[in-house]
Amino acid sequence: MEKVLSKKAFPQWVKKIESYTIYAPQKDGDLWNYEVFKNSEIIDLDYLNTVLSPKKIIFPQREVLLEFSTSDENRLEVKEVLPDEKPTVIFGVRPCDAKALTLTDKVFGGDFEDLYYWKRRNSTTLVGLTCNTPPSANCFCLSVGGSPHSKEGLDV
Amino acid sequence: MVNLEELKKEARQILKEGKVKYIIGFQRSSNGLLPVPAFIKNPEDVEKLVWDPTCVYNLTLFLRDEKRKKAKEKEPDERPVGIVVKGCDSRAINVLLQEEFIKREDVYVLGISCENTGVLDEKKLAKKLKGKKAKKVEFGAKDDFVVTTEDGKIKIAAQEVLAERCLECKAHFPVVYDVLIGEKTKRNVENPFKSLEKIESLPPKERWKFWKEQIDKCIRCYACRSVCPMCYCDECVADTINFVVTPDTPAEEKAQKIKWLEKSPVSSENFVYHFVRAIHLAGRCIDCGECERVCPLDIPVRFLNKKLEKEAKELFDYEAGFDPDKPSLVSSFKDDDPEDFIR
Amino acid sequence: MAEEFEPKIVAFLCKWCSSAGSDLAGVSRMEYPPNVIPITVMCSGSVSPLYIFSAFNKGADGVLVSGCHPGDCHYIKGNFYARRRIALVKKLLEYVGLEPERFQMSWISAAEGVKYTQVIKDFVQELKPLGPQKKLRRTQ
Repeated sequence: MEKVLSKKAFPQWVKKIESYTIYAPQKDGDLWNYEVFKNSEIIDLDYLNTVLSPKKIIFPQREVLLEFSTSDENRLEVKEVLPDEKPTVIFGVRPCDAKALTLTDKVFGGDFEDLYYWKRRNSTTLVGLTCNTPPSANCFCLSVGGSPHSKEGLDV
Repeated sequence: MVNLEELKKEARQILKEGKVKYIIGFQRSSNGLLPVPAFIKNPEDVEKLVWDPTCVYNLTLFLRDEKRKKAKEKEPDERPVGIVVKGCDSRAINVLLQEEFIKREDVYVLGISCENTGVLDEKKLAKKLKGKKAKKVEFGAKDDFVVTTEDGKIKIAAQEVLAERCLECKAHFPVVYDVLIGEKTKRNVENPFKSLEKIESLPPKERWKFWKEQIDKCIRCYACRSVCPMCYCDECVADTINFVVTPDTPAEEKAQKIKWLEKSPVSSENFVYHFVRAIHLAGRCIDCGECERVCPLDIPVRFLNKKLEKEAKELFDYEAGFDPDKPSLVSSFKDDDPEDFIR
Repeated sequence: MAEEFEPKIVAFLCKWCSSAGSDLAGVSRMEYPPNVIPITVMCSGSVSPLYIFSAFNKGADGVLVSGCHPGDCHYIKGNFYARRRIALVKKLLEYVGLEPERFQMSWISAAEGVKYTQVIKDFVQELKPLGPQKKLRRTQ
């Protein structure tokens, strides 16, 4: 069943999912990037695409995998550091970026599942934003079988 | 006014005579405002060449690829490569000649003067047009650009949309060339380092805050390094296992390779990378501005190199890319080099 | 009593002059602050800017590069090249906002044990109020 949410009612919807950490595109100088969204702000959707893809939130460039220390008896103690599964919402994901996440799912899934990736991936909800404005000069989703209205990989 | 036909005629001539292997120039792309590099072998294809304010690239970058290709060939073609350059790009050729990376006979320079204007800054134009898409930009008659949008043609004063570096240009016509197209106009730049004052005038704490914010953005994509014609090292110090690791490399050798900086985009490592690059480009950077243009996060990389350019001029009276016979900045010294900072 | 901050100084000393000077200070039982980590290099001209950035990256509070007096270099010209190069590095670090007191250069000959101790004493005195170097230090 499809529901339609008006732009005016948007802040109320955002308040309802307050318990989640929300990432939304925000303007920083001339560029758009995903930042943690604070309730008091308005989401501005007038952008083509962010500079860095949402993959950075789910699969960061640098993460701590494990910690080790030496104990008193000179024994090595290794502790695995798994990412905490905080419920997260990434808002305003373009269909091309969402498709990219389905591909990384294949890489990290399959026979050997990467726990670090999946802990983050499973606790993240992706809310998509279809492309209505003309694509930038460098967009190429149609050339690779994608579509500006594709739902692949998106949860909402 | 630069006559494009003159360039085409010259290019056609040297290709017909077989004087050059191919010519590197600019051609229209199938999409978007900026051109793409053209590698022209046939005299008929010379028609593709264009010259307008959108020709921002520094094509001397491809001389590096040409050299690598030639090194691999068993019987290389010894003819020179033709290359279309602006004033700033020609300084890059001088620096490469100075460092003996290429020989003068390896390159046939088709120099084009920027005359009284320069090249476009795409972002400035986009702001000026307020959302309208520009399809074409041409040189106007009187120091202005003629921009074609979907609504027709409009004239914009060049000063408003020129690339930042063009406003402080030191070489608006090529300083080394085999053929020069366009006039050697006179241009007075009062203070070529004026843009630095904005940052230099800040107190140290503010300056740190500014640079920390900018360099923290860096994701170490190395686009700035890839596009710089001076960064031609086969193995970059920032990427210590760039090419020498094969399946046969023993683990011991890999472990003993010095690692000056981590690969991860953490603030401290980003600083080391940018510092090292700035120092390696001291006295070599000719401010083609490409590094800043290609940065996906809009980091003002140019201002690091520009500061060292200023110090090279003020402390050591050295300017990169004007004299290929002069020794480079760091491989020479003067007896009266300043030493007031030394205890 | 709160522990006073003791700055860590990394000193690149040229083997023929400055390092010999520091040895002379030691042999003569001169007292000077123990905050220095001396690294002997063959010539001040061989000090690559990478060494300096690496020292700050690893957490050095101060870096000193020291060589022979101009004209006395064992390799004739090395210290002249160093003078140029270090000037550029100093300007770059200052430009980014690092405190200029943290990076110093000096000419210390093999006979100047006293000068070495003085340079180090002054350096430590200047660094103490600045506190630990946090700006360029690798934290992870």
